[in-house]
Amino acid sequence: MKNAAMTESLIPPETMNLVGQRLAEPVTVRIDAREAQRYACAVGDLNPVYFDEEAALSAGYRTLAVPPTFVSHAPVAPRPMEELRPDGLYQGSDRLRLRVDRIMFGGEEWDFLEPVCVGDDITSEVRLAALDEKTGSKGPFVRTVRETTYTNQDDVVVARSRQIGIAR
Amino acid sequence: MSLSASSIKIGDTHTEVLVEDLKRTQIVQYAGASGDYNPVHTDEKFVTEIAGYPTVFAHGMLTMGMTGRLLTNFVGDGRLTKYGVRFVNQVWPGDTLTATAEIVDIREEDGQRLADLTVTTVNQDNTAVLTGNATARIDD
Repeated sequence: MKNAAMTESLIPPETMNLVGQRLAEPVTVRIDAREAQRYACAVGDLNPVYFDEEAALSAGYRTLAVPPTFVSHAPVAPRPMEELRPDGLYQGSDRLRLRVDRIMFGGEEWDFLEPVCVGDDITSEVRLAALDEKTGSKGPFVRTVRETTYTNQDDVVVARSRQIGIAR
Repeated sequence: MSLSASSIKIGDTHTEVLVEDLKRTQIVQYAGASGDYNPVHTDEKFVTEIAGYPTVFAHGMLTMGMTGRLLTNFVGDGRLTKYGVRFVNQVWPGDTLTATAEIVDIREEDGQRLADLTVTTVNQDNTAVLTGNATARIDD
């Protein structure tokens, strides 16, 4: 740490102040069967409870269920090419600014609290849960933890996810 | 289908092949379904010439979603309460992925029977690409 004072932190001070803060406005979206099925097909999960209403009802759901991790993709709005950044993410999609070249997904953790079904209105709200600067074998990096809370139309929290990013 | 405490024991495992010979098209399919258009997953020219990787690689979340299928097949629909993963190696086109879940604890919390599991997804070289853990509600 002897050079710490001379080395510029990868985390600008204004970014450090975001810990605990909301990173974007909350987004509410109605869960759509086709979108959920498109995701289920993409991950090769052809469970009948996602495709066949009768199978879903006999499994105890109110209507068609959706794959658990689909909930994080449902709020992603369709946007034109012009709004894609070079890294393929949307401009203005996030307030987190770091002095790094690339951010990789390190992992993700979920709490599934209540089932999510087609027709539910899900509000997702993302906060910066943690931000740590560390030094690894490949040099300094920043570990970011974004926590997203998913709430349904009855104000019930249905899921929480923590996305861990490694930025260097 | 769901698990019951009387029919399982610590050390029980469940294994499934998640994908054989992962196609680039499936990676594109996932990009479209997820809205994650990072070109490292789809653009060969970008990923080799600019990003410096040998070729495109799958989204970590694709592996997580595929591995999630193994878990819900094992523990039953609507039974998963926790699921966490680390992406430990990249997944490339052509990979064959096999996931194994193992029951590591059977316990009770607030009157609810729970099973804790570890999950590991390996490629055709038996190299782990995803490691994680999960918790599921089970019957008595």
